[in-house]
Amino acid sequence: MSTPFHDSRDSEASVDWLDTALWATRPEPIPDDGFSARVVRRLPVVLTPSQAQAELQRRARQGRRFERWTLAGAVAGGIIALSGGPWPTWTQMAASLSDLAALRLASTAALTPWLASLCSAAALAYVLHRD
Amino acid sequence: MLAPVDHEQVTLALAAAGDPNAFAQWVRQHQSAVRNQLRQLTKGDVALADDLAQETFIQAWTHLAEFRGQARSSTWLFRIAYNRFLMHARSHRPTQPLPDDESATDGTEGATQHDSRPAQALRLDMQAALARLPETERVALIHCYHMDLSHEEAAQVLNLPLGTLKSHVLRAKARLREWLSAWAPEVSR
Repeated sequence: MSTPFHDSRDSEASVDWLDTALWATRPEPIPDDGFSARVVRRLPVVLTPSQAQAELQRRARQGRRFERWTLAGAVAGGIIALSGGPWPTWTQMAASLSDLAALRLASTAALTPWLASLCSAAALAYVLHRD
Repeated sequence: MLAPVDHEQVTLALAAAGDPNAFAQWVRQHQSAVRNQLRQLTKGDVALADDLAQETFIQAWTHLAEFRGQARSSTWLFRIAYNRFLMHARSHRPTQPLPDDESATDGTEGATQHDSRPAQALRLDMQAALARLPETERVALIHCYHMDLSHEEAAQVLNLPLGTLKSHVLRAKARLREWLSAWAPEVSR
């Protein structure tokens, strides 16, 4: 810790009246009055190493949970697609597509197994290739 | 024998690791000096000075890990605060003209008018005289005399070569010696 003003004496051999006057007019200390509390309230979130590690683990757990549910959904979709009865012929498929284009949803049942298997395959592909 | 523990270093290490309580303790240690510095730089604008002081400490918080301890932490803080002040000053040009030399002389020649309360009168005259100084000289002088900084530290805070800072201080003191000469016998007593 330096002594106050220890090198503010370049022009004089000793402290003169002006040095004394300058020191005497130093500002008074300012009481905290909640200032530090206001600063702390405004601090941006900064993670400690342990908090960062915990955050990483939380994200990994979240990712694994997402994968499990997606896989379960894909498997369930595949089962539904494969066990839902006879698959439609190409003619029925074409008719269903034209009905769909005309917004006649009642006759799109022939598309369901295809859509289910397509969704399942897409979900599997996403989970297997997401990293 | 164990080396003595530097409590501020411990506090800073904890704060750098993200401990807001340690940081609050460090802010409490330095808030007065930083707020005083900014009040002087802003020529007494308390609200602005406190806003800038808050920004100073928040910036210090986000860069605490970069503080290597080569300088006193107060010097580091003063430097951040001074840079915040400069950034503010550049983006907010003054709308009112600064007082010219003629109007400022009124406050510096009244030493004999305040004989009843000399300390307060000296403070007022000193403030008026400091306000008359060219900005570079005023800033150099208040950092050397009012902020408890050595010339080297003040030069570091103000980002000036040491010789330049010393020249500013000498010139400022020469002016003050002339303007406040009426106080010489009173202060020397």
